[in-house]
Amino acid sequence: MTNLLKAELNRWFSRRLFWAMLLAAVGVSLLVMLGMSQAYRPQSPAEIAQAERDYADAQQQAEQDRKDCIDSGQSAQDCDTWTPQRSDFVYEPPTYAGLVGNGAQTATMIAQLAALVAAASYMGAEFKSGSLATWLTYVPRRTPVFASKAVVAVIGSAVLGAVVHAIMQIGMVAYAWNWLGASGLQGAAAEWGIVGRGLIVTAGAGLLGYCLATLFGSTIAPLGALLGIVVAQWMAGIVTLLVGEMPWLIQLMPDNNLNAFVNGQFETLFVVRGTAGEEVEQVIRIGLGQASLYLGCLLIVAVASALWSFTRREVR
Amino acid sequence: MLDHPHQSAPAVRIAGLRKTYRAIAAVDDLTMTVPNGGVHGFLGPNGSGKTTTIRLLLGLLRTEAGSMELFGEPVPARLPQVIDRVGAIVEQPRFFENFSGRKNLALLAQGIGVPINRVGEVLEQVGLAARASSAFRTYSLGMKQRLAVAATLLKSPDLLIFDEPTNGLDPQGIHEFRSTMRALADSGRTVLVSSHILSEVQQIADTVTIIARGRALAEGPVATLLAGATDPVRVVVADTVRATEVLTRAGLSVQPDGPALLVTRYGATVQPAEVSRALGEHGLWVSELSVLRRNLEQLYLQLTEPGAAPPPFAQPVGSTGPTGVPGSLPAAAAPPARPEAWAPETRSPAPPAHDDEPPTVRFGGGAA
Repeated sequence: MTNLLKAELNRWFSRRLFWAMLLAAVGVSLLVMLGMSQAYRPQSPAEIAQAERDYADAQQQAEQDRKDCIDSGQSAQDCDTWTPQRSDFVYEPPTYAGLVGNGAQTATMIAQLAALVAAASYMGAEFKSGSLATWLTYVPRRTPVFASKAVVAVIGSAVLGAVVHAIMQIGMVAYAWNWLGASGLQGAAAEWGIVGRGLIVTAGAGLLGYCLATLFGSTIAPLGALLGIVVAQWMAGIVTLLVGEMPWLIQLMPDNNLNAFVNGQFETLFVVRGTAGEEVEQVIRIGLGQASLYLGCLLIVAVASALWSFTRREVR
Repeated sequence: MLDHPHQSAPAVRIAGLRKTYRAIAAVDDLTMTVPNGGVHGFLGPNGSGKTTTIRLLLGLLRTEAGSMELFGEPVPARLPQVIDRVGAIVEQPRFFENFSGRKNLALLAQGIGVPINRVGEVLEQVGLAARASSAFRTYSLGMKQRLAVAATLLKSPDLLIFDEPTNGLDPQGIHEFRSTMRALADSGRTVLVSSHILSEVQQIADTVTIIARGRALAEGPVATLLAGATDPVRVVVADTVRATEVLTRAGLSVQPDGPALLVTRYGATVQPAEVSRALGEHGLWVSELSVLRRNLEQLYLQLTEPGAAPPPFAQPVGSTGPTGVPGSLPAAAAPPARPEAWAPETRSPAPPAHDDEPPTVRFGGGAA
């Protein structure tokens, strides 16, 4: 098993696609960070003063519009439109915790996609080139072969995730240092948990990509599965519009559970009709434990199916 | 090799093997034995079940019935225990396209715990050292074959399995590959080579199994399969009518063959001398006399001729023929069904004696 692991690690880190995915993930992360520097940059005193003036103007304009509306004969209720909020003009300065959390969420999203593709291609290339047959004539014990590849997919994806998260968090620290000063670099203990769980999700995405590629014998299959999930969610949205919200469906959607796992919990508010036809607000929460169980079961099913398929597969 | 527990067992033993694809039997009750040492040809047309048999033997496909052994170890159950003694190329060499030849071999070596310096040795051995750093996808078919041979040599196997190794090779490449297989066999290894080009294998094989539609038709030493009582004598005389009468009276069968006559005797050998003596005693002078030797291709055609009776020389595999070799021919055989298909023998001289040195793999230089 040690020899197999060494060989598979050697292969993973020798693959051009892995480095291409890593570079792409880092490139996208840098672009996102550039965008974040604009979105989260604190306003200067001059900008705040201007924003306050704009806010006052907007309030005046809204009041004038309302008056004109009533004068034209419409009811006061009909003329109650948008009321300017101060927070729309004068932004709250960013916090270090917010930057770490947002950076971790973004890095997780980028890294998990890159890991899924890298791992799927890692196995898909074996089928495409036919080298799996060659490999199995050297090492015919299929379970250790499967396990070594799975472990390497997890390790390789985790390395990819670690690089992306590290670059993202270095950027967040740099922003926080620049905007908040050295004293601002604290209070993000909970958000570092998002980084840790983001790494687990990235490694899991790699494992899932590997398993799906093993199960379907191609690189494209995991990407097809992703597309399938998107389509399924879209269909679920349509069904929800037709028959109303279904709390159990919200609990079962993969992206909700993924969000719950990365962020520690997921919460959504929706309105249902009460028995007397009244509107009742309901909150659905998915906790970390439930999300962990959900994603864990999903991975166990994927690994078990892929192992079953791999050990029984006829290699031609 | 003395360390192995089943030293006396044949390299490969297959009995009653069966494999179907969508109700079509690719291998159907196949029984065959590959003795230790030498080159064993596994012959049959495309789609006869050769590759499927090899894949089954290597555990790449699942069997439906029958048993298989490699060096006395049942496979696939004990394949992991015996795989280090087997090197195989199934159909075409398959490696990672973007990795270099050296990288591909290094991965294999690492996976099976072979020292990495062995990679350089085997690349040198097959004449690929100069192109070892090039990507596999840039290799010619001949170079890919060489890399595959190098890969099989990584573990110093006792049995090498080559499945249609000369497909796509040019004549020079085919010649080189034949030399390689012979050299490997001469170094004490067993080489199992499958091919649909029977004449090609005939030049190097010591023993063969001929299959069609997933079943073994004949098996045994090439010399035994091709030799025998049924080789006709071709004779050219001026008066073929009288010559036919004379030879028929002498108890021989005669068939016209253009300007010549083909002379055979049911169940026994015809000696050229007795033909020339019989004709000479009647004043018929022979202007040309030759013994026609069969080749494997003709033997195969005879075995697979539509409506042909079970071939008299296809013994149940595992039985012992007159030569003491399992599956060899009986002494007597029927006259040829198609005399026109016979041809002079093309078998190469006997291989040189074995030695303990590594085989000299006679591939060309690295610039193929």
